[in-house]
Amino acid sequence: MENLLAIAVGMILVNNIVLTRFLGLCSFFGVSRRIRDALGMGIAVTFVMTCSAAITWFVYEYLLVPAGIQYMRIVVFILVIASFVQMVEVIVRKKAPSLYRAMGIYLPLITTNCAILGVVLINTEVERYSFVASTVSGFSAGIGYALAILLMAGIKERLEIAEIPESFRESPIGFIIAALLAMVFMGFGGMV
Amino acid sequence: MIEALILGGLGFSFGVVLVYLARKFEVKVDERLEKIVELLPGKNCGTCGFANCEEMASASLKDPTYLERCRVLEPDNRRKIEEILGVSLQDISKKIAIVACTFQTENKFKYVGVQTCAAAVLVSSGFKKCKYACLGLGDCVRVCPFDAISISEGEVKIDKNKCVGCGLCVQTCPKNVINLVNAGAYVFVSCSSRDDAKTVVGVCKNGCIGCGLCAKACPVGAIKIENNLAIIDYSICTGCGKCAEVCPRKVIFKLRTS
Repeated sequence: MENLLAIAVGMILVNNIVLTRFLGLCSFFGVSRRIRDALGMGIAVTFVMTCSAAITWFVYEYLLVPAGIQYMRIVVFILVIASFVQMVEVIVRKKAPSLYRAMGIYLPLITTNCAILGVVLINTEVERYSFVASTVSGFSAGIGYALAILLMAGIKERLEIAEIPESFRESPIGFIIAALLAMVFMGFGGMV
Repeated sequence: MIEALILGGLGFSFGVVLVYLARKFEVKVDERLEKIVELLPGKNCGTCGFANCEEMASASLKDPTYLERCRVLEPDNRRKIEEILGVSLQDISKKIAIVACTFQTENKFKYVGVQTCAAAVLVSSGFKKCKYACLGLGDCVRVCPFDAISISEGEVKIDKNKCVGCGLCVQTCPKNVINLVNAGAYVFVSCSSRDDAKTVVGVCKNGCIGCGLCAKACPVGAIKIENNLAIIDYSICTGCGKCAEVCPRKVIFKLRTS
């Protein structure tokens, strides 16, 4: 139990997927214009990350390890994630049209989000977590991503009305903020 | 060999599941929808009351009269959509937005806050001497989806050819200084001031003082003075232009001649 808590805190704060491991940066900068959009993206990523962490654990432990072909993991995981996202999209579109519209473009975008692949690889290859730990780790990594992108969106909304020197507008100031946020999250280092 | 088998097997089984799901959860899309979406302006201005053009299109499939709400639709495309849906709709008159201000008033103080009209209006209801005047900070420019509005030297200009009359600027302007008029209008009172004559003369070189000369000069009685401001009834106006000639403040403009 304690171990799971440590994994969760570690994934959300200490080893935040975006601000400490620098994964999933493209969507972190791209979809953080408004808090509402950022929240949608955060929820979608959390959902896909949790589920793909669970599925890939089975694929890794029961297919790749017995066959001794762990080096195929990246290709196989991408296949699993892409198919899973596709399945979710088809089902959500039929069963919950309003949710489908709310998620919009973000769902397919997640397919190529390196944060998902990164978490899945950490779970299996690096840490060799158990099934439960793997799922918890996936879920908390998703929460960490949502936290990071929400922080970013909140700051970016303030920036809209701030007076920024011409040459720093849009992306450059975004990078500076991301760097500052990353330094803040370094403060959590050594907690777990 | 084993890796090819596993990868192939995984891919194949996922493929089968996906095909099965796609069949089971198939969402029927009306094929007319795509055609209508293509014909709609695609600017997603939202003045029809729907979030975007696609929403509007799917609503108009159920009830074609929703199309009448689109003020941006070109007549040609409109006819094509009517053909697709097999209905004929009422024509709506094209409107354009005009700024009812001559920008002749001066600043009463220097405003250095956030450079939007919405923010500036909160400080002593704007930094212009005339409290009805255009502030010229360009909230309308930013909201216009058609790039029809520009600002040069503090004067807001709306391009008649680009404006489609969606009315977003009218809603956005905190001073309510932008009016929607019929595209066929002949004359326009370029002032929004409801102040009395003495105040208007004190703050503006042009501003309407509500003297009523235009109302007297109008041969068909299309002009009324309401709250110290001349209002033109465009359903009666014949476009003779007499009001523009007699106006002592030169605030009535001819948009075109009859």
